[in-house]
Amino acid sequence: MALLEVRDLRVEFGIQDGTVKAVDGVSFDLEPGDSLGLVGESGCGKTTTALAIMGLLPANGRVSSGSIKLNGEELTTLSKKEMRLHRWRDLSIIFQGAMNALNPVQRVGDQVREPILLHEPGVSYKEANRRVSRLFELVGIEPERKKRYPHEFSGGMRQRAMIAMALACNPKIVIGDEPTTALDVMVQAQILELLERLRAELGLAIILITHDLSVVAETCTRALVMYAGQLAETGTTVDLHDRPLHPYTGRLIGSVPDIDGPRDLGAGIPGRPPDLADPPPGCRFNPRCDHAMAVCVERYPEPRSFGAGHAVACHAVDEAGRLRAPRELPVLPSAVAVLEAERRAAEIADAMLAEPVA
Amino acid sequence: MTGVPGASVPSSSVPGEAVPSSSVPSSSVPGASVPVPAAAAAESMAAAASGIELRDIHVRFPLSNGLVNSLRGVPRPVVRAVDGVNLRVGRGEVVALVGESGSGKTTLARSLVRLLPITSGKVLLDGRDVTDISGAALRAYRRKVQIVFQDPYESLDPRQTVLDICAEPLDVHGLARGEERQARVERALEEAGLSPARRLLARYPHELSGGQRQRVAIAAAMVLEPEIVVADEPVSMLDVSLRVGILRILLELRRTRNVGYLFITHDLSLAWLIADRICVMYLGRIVEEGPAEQVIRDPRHPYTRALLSVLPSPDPSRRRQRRLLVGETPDAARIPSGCRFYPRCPLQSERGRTEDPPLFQVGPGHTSACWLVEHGEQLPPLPELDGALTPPAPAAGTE
Repeated sequence: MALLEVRDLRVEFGIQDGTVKAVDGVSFDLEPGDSLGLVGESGCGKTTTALAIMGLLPANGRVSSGSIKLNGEELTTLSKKEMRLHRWRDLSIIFQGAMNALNPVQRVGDQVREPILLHEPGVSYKEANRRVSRLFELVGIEPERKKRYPHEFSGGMRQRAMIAMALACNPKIVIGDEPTTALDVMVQAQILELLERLRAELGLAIILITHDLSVVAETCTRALVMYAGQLAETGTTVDLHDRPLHPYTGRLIGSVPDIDGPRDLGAGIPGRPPDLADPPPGCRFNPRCDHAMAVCVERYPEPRSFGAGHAVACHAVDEAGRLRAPRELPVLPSAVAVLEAERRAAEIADAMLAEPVA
Repeated sequence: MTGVPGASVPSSSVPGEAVPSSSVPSSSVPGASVPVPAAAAAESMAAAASGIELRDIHVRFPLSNGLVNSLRGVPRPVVRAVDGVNLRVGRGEVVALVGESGSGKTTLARSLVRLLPITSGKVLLDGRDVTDISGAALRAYRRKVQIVFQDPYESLDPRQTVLDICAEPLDVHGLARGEERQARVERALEEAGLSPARRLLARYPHELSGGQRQRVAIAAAMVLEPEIVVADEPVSMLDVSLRVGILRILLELRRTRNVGYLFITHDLSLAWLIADRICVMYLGRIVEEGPAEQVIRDPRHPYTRALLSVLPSPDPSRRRQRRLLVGETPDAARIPSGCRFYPRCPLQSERGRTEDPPLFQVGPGHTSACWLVEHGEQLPPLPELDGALTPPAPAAGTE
């Protein structure tokens, strides 16, 4: 039994005219000391997955099927009150820009202390204060700064304080939702190093949600690549980098700038992310995929495993775990037409760009 | 070997090759940063006059002082956001200005397009002084120098259609009406990769995706056919898969229209992809400048080197040896005396403690403001900083 078991999770949001399937069949396991990256672009469902795990979905959102088990206990059926017992103590989350969520008129130390007093009624005021000091030390802030207000902290220090708060009740799992996105590179490196150390020292399991593949490669041992709510590929970060199987993973890696790589922009990904209220049928990546075949439009490819922990959901990957060359197989006429039209449009645009300007 | 704090600048190397030390670098007067003769010489050559040039630009903001201090005659504190910057962007050139928040890069960008006043220094466009222009001359300047902002969600007026947004510059400058107005907007949109443009003209920004919005913003900047475009983090709000498209368009316009870019970013790896030259800015001053290849592969300023070392690598089997710096960029109202990087510098040369280094030539077109490279030498390796996470008090393991 894993610490956290997510199986075939589906999350829907009710909107004016219908529903949006924001997460559509995501599964993973998490063990103590694990670091798992959830990677994808905006709208891919990575944050929704986190909110579902935390039991923090907004009113119009619900887990429509699947299960989330913490130490074997099903979380999706818990009442709000029961779920509250797990938050902070078993699971906590650090949001992007969380440092701006601190109350400006309350001392930082008091804010870090709050979850302790709230969730561990047996803990005395004095003991809680001592714990805050230890937490401050743990995240690299001088404990004397407890009495300071948020505006007296720099951005990086406020983010550290938020991490301290997330750790206040000794959770087993910490989810970081783009925890370094709003920070400078140097501060980002400091925070990532801190998370890494906490994982090693405290045996925390960390789920890191980010759009930045480099950040995941740097901090996580495994990752899950999501596209438009669906799982595209999962595996160790080394596998995903060295042997990406899903066309989307490959394209995504190709779009990440690397100072050790060549100075070229890479291919990018044509088209744009789909409207989740009206997603393309089958594999949702099919309209942007140059490996798309008839079957890709017909149904979503069940994830298949290729080696330890490496799984991919793609029809174009053959039994030997190789990505077939683009359009080696018969392609759906409509998909051909779309791809053709796109290529022509690109050619026309290129031609117009190449025209000399008077 | 000179990496030990307190080691003096090696005096044995051949002195005086293109080093501007004859004009005494002053640590107390902020305005006294010395333009680099070698770079200046290179610039004055050939057709280098076209494009934009900044000479010793300062942008300062006075802070309020409070009544008591004012009565006591205490001078008002001043934020020196840009503190003596020399920079050139030629036509058809991509210059990346890289810095963390608080480095002054955005202030510099905004003062360049006159959204903020310059306190002192000179701006030259195609060799002509445009520092104090106003009225018609300023309007003409703005036609030639345009800006693209970071956030396509905030920079577009939600109540205007795409056509009106993109045509506004034409209207303001009285350049085109009626059919020609629309034709020029369509062409700019197509060039920004929005085709067919005709179908987008009547749309409002909320009907567009983030990538499309940024393309509209680019079209609005390009409709005047500017010579120089200041692009302030134009892709940092966009998903990775959309970035490539935007960058490609910017580079394509460089090729077809000879547009020069001052590309502002916090991301050195992005600068690596697109820039001809990279300028690294720290606390209001450029501390290293050179061809992208040199700055990335052979950085000669400890700050640049540290920044490069913390860039996350997309290859998990090739993690870099991180060299974390202590703390964060200090407040621009309290720029350290001596070398502004000294308090955070892992190499801390004795001279840097008291004297502000000018830019020294370290290679062809490559300069660095560090006393340790005064004679073009290599930097010693950065020492590993234990406890960089916890500047003063080491974190004793708890639990």
